[in-house]
Amino acid sequence: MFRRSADIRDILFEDGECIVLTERRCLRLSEASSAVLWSLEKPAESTQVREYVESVCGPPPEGGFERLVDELIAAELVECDDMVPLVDP
Amino acid sequence: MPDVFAVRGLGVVVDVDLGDRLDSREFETAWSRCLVERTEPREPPTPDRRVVAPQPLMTGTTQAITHELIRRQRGELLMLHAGAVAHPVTGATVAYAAPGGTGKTTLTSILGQRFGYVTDEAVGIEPGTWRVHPYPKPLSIRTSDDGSPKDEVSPDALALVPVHHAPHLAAVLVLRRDPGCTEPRWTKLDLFEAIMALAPETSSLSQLDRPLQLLKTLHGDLDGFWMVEYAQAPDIADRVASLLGEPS
Repeated sequence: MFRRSADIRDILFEDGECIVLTERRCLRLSEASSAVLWSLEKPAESTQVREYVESVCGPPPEGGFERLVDELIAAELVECDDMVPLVDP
Repeated sequence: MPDVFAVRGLGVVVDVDLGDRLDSREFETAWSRCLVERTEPREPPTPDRRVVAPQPLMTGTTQAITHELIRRQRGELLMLHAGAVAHPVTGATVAYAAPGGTGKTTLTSILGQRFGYVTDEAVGIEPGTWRVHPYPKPLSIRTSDDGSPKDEVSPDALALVPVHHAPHLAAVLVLRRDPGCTEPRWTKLDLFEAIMALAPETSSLSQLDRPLQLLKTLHGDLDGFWMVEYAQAPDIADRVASLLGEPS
């Protein structure tokens, strides 16, 4: 189960992109990353997130979705109940 | 002569203990626009109402006062690392945000000859109403590049115009100083560009209620923010002034 990080203080979505504000950072995210965060308005399973991202951005390249989610986890914008990376480093 | 002064800025009052290293008269002169007459008995300090402790230098005292004022208004005001001046009749205010050492004070000392001096360092803005809470501190003027402390110069000594009684935000600029810039460049920022440019020049932004939505509303109400790239403050002073209209 994925969810938005508790560190996120605010998110602003506009035209398919978003800006995220945490305690210390303000980040502008790509369309795909924004789609992940949009899909996590409530905690969701990986398959639900993937379906939404694909509906917005089209099918990702092999392993692309997993890398995207791992990057968001590494950036501390997304949390996962099971914090084992989806892709072997 | 009291050794503890009450200083108003960003809409709150803080007590400042000068200790025995700084000259009280020098402090009174430099802080003339912020000093508050204290007639009521002084409340004892609490964790939320700290007294600014004695500092060895005026520069350090100014920094400590600014830090305490910002701390007190955390979560209440939108606070920008910016200089600002206000039209003396209408109160319309332009705030120009920039990192330290990139020309805010120089621009302020030029514009403040014609427009009310709001601050050269920190602008406090009431969310939604966009009322500006002045902080007309002494101007921190760098006199050399050798790392020595700045001079804290009274706005009176520079003959800056007093601020309007109810200033309100009318324009926001983000300054980028580039010594190689031959012609100033003014660019209207779209919403995301504006937020990404302004957010680093804020204090405690994340403590506000829905801060990104707040910046979006401000961006809409002001018809956008400007990015201004320039080499020297006099190059842009007239155009900044034109945003407020000439004082009569």
